[in-house]
Amino acid sequence: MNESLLSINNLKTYFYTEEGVVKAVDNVNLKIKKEEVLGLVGESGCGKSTTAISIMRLIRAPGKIAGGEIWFDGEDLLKKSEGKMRKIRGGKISMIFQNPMSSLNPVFTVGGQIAEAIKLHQNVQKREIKEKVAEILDKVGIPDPSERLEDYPHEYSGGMAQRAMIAMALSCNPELLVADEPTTNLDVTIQAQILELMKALRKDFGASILLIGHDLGVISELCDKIAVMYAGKIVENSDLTGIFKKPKHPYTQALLESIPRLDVETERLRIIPGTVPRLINPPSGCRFHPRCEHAMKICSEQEPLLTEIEKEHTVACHLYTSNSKPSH
Amino acid sequence: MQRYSLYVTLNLIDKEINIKERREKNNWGVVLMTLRTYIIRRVIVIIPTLIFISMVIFSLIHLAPGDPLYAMVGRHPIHPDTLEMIRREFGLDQPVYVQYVIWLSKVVRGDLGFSYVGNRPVTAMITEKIPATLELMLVAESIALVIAVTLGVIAAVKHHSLTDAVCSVGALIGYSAPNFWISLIAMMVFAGWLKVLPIGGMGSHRTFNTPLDALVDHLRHLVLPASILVIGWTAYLFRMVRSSMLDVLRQDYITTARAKGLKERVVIYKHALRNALLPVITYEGYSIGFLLSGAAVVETIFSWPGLGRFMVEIAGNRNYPVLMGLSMIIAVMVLTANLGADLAYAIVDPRIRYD
Repeated sequence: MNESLLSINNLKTYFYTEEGVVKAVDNVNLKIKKEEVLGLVGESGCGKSTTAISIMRLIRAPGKIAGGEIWFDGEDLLKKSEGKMRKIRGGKISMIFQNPMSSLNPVFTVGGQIAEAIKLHQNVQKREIKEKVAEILDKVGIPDPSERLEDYPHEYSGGMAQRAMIAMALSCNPELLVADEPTTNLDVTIQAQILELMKALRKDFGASILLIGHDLGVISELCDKIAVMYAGKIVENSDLTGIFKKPKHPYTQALLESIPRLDVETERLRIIPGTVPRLINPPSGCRFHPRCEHAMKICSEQEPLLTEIEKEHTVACHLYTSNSKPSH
Repeated sequence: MQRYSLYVTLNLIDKEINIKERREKNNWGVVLMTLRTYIIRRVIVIIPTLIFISMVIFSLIHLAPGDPLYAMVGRHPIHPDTLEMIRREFGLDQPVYVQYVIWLSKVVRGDLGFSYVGNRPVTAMITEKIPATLELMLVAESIALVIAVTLGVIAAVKHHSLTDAVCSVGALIGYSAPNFWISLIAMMVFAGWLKVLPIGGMGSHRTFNTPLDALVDHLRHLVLPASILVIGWTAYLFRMVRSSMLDVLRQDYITTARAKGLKERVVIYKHALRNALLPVITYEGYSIGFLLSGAAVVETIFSWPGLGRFMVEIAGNRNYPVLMGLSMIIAVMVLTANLGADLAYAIVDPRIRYD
């Protein structure tokens, strides 16, 4: 417990819409140790990004954090005042987003936007700021950094913009970097470059990373541990080998089988039948049961709890609770 | 041939812009240089636009029924020979296209001709009325801009709140209430019943002890007509600012700004407002058209001796030189305002290149 940098306990983030309450994040538990990279995987709309935004406490109306705790560095972020939270945002916890091009403000220079973060969180002399910005841009691989910092975002390519976003996020040496699908909207080659960059920076900066994504392949490149999320809940949580070699939850198994593989010859890829449930009115019991091929009677009646079935491997599925037999 | 040479000119200017080193773009000297070529390009385009506008208006005026001779001589019985003589003197016996070419050749030399009535030069008749209208419009414009931006930002930030609802309903009323109706009500209340403001004109016909007294008297005359213009234009701009701001507040870069740890005030007034005002600049370009049509009503009602009232006065008669002159002046004003708006946009938005 003490070694965790971030520990999310029973986090509930709800959106109070006119149609009803959307429980986008419902009783989520996550832990990230110092210098660890945790991957948070799930389909779109499962609450991954909402979890990330909740950590930053940037949920906007009609959304609201309805309960739970977010322990960071021994303090509950949810109990902090807005002023104290601002010191943490961009300082101790920073974030990069899915759309690098739209995440940079079009009317300010890239360098100016990075300098803004440095001015806020670090005690740097005014005339040294520009050097500092150039230095960090150089670290993320922007060529001619001292010239390119005068450029506006539209003069950057998507990959460069994401590098700049990473530079901005790392400019204040954060303890935790929340990366919300940082490579999703980039070309495959650029994706690889950005992943390489993040790997290299991970060693340099020693920050913990929460890497959010829907692509298990991308996630596995960088992560030590993986949490699988489905319909607002964590369904399985383990290290890389646990998830890839011994997946327990039927959803994780199905996800893995839907990734194309070169070493196995199959006619067609596995697809998961059905669609992601609407979170206004989620299925009773286990939220995956309508799509699950192992569904039993109890699955629709009782919600399975996240239980540790092997060391550091937790899963929320009735197949693994004492009164039912595992099928694998 | 002419099109070809225009094309070549534009291309040459293009080249000049492209030669500019990308690295020098933040150097103000270079920015002003490229702006200058941009302005030249735009002015070159304005000329054919003006010629086209003048052709359309000229034809429309001549298509409208009625004879300009009656504007000159009234409806007294006059010998047909005399009429014919006058017609020849003013060139009205020529075919319309000949009349147009004669008119255009004079305009190019800066001569808008003489009024059929009173025989005064059209240029003088118009220019003496421009200051009054300009004053009214500038005052209305500045006040409207300040109110609309302030309320628009507040309404957008407090979306769905009571403040938002009150402002939006107020704007809807201000936008849909006809100018002439508000003018008459305001006149009745403030000048008629309360007697706190003068009923019309630009100043009282009396001598003042100090220049300050004269100024105060003038401003008291300005209050009602300016306020009426402010109401309509504020309502219009407010809706623009609010929707633009709402749109910007949803953008990813606003989340980035917040995730950086910036104060909400900085997020709103630095990161959001600068972007939200970009489309507003374009609408500012249209403001002159909106305000002029409003001025036509307001100036007539409050006897404000400006272009708007003049426009209404002469619209009914067939005083061709005055009608054409006024139309062209208005066209030039509108096109200049649009050019100004585009220039401002180009300066404020780094994504716009001057080509």
